[in-house]
Amino acid sequence: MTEKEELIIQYEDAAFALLMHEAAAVQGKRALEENKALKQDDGSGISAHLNRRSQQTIERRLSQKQKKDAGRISHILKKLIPAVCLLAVLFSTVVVGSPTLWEQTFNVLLPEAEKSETIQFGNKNRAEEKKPHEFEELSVGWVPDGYRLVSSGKSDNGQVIDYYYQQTGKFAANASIHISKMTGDMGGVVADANGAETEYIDVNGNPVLLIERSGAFKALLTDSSRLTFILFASEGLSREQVIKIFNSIRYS
Amino acid sequence: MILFVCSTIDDSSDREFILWIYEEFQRLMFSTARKYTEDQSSCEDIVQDSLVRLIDKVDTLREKKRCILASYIVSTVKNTSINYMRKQNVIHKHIVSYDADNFQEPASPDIHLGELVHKKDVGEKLLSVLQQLSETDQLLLEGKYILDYSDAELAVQLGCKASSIRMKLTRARRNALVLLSEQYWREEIVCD
Repeated sequence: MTEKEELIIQYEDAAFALLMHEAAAVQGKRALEENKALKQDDGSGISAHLNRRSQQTIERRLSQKQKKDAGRISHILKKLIPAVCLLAVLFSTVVVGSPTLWEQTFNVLLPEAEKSETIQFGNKNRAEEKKPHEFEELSVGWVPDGYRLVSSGKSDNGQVIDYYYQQTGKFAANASIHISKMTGDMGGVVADANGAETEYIDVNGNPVLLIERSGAFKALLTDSSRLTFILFASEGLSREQVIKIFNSIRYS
Repeated sequence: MILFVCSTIDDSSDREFILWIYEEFQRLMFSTARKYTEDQSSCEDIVQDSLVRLIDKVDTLREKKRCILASYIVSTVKNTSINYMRKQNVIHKHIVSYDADNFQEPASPDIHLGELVHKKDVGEKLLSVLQQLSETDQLLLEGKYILDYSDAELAVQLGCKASSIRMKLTRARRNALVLLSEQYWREEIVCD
């Protein structure tokens, strides 16, 4: 192929992309009109069975995507420059050596969260103190009325347990509870606390960092004696309900 | 160094967005699937497959304006439906094969591409032209230009090599342009 032919194909591609954008806009406009009409048509409703199936599909695929993304991040981090690795190892060695220091480090980092985008801490090398795949159970004793368990399960390597609840009959994003338990040897946690209200509460002797932003709660329980994180995210719950849920969580 | 970054919180925003899409457009998705098959079970499967595809493109979807997002969803369901029906061997007889052996070069379009870009109703006409094209051409053009699929993704759908997608796209574009220029030509005859 000559250079001129190559350029012609590039030109056709760009010009056709412009034409297709126009076609997509027309198709979108028609689709929105059809969607509006369908919403007003009682006969076009979707059965509860089908909604459940769709929701399960969504949960399953998101879970797969999450694992895939985590794997990709891990792959990228493996390629980071040696200096960064060395610093991380030094940090981990000092901090992991003492659970108390580990928690103190977290406390020191907390005020900084108000200035920066994220809190990040890790406890790499904890895996060496614990056999791999040795993982305990997690149960949630109480959720508010009207919420049902949509999905739950362990990750393939058994290091994360996941519970997802949603308000019955709602697909709305403002009616969900997500609880995950992961072992400390997973490494670290990033929690966005920028512009949010943060406080510590005590749950069964363990500190829980509670982050509230616009009515949405995110919480993190760190149990250094058991090398465990409990992660929590909810929309549409009160502070009291969040604390009550946390008090009902049991893990052994 | 194995650092696991817990993305539970980020993941919840993907979940919210996808659930919103499903809640908002579920009827449209089923209605689009029903245009390809009246079998309820097949419609359900198509919508499930479409949801999986939408989740895989969630970052792309977030950037779309509502109108283009609706178009993307419709094209995804159309694309999934065609692939599903192909797998079911229901519409094979309607599929035009694009093997090199039986391929005929389309006639050159009468109207220059540069002119078409500036025509006011070109979107409307192109949409109508797309529906007249073979399903393979529809898969290629909508997949490439609306759904942002890579050559590799298109190749998987069509069961061919990724290296041959570019040539197939060129032919599909020219097929569309021939039909499009014919539409304008007919209009000019009527006006004269």
